[in-house]
Amino acid sequence: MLKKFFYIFFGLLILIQFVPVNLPEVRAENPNDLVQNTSIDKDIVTMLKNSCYDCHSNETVYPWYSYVAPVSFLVSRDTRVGREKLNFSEWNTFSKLDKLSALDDIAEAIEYGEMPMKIYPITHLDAKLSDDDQEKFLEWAESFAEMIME
Amino acid sequence: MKTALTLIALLTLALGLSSFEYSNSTYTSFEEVDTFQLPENINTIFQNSCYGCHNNDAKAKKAKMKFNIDKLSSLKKSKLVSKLNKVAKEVKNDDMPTEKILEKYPKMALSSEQKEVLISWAESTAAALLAE
Ligand code: HEC
Repeated sequence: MLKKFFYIFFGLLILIQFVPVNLPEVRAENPNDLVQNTSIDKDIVTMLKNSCYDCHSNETVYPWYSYVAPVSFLVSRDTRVGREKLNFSEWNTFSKLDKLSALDDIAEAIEYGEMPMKIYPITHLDAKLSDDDQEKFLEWAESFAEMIME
Repeated sequence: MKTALTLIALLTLALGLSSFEYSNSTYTSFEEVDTFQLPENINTIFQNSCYGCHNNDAKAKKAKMKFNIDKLSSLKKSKLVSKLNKVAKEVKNDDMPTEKILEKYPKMALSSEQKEVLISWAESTAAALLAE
């Protein structure tokens, strides 16, 4: 009984490896990138890169297991949706209004604990934002928005 | 057939132009007031269709955090611009008031005229703030 279950389980696992997955493309050259074009505090840059950039930029770093189904399904969807909603690699192409809205969204997502997604720090330990980090990040978002207003 | 199509096209154009005119006339200048104040017509719309979920004492935490009408006047300009932008977006997409509440209280629905007034007010006020 148990043996049969394992056969089926591994059979399925092997089978789903053949389902085509489209991991969003990684691009190294991003002339409109936020971090490259803006003077931002080092601590904030670290947080952005560690906690956000895998899903919200073109510089995604795919770990080995992101090529293995079913994890690959989740990673490809989250990365695609993340980039669609907010892509820091395209920051300089945003209008003032879109930048301000994005910073407001960012503040909301952090205050509400929506971002980074709960599942992400399980495998990316340095992605977790401490209360102190969150506060710093919120302060940055607010002062950056004020700067954009001017 | 062709004339009918031309007529429809012209009519659409005329309607589009008239609504443009209209949106300009409802433009509420922000510069006149120092602290942010809701114009009377906007306040009425908010009270009827939005305030229940978006006030200081609202039970819906998320709704209150994302858009709190009581707090609009104390927001930094950069935040206010974004909130106005989002009001316009939500109303344009028919996302607000929520579908659920409209099933229960159909009276909270925005008329197409109210939508237009709200959107043009939100957009023009945001643009004026940005231009300051
Ligand atoms: C039944 C309660 C309810 C009513 C009435 C309501 N809202 Fe909301 N609103 C919500 C909730 C809940 C959210 C949060 C949705 C989410 O992000 O999950 C929200 C979010 C918003 C947001 C923030 C969107 C964002 O992405 O940050 C805006 C702006 C907004 N509402 C405007 C309005 C306006 C304008 C009206 C009236 C025309 C209105 N709402 C009426 C419940 C309501």
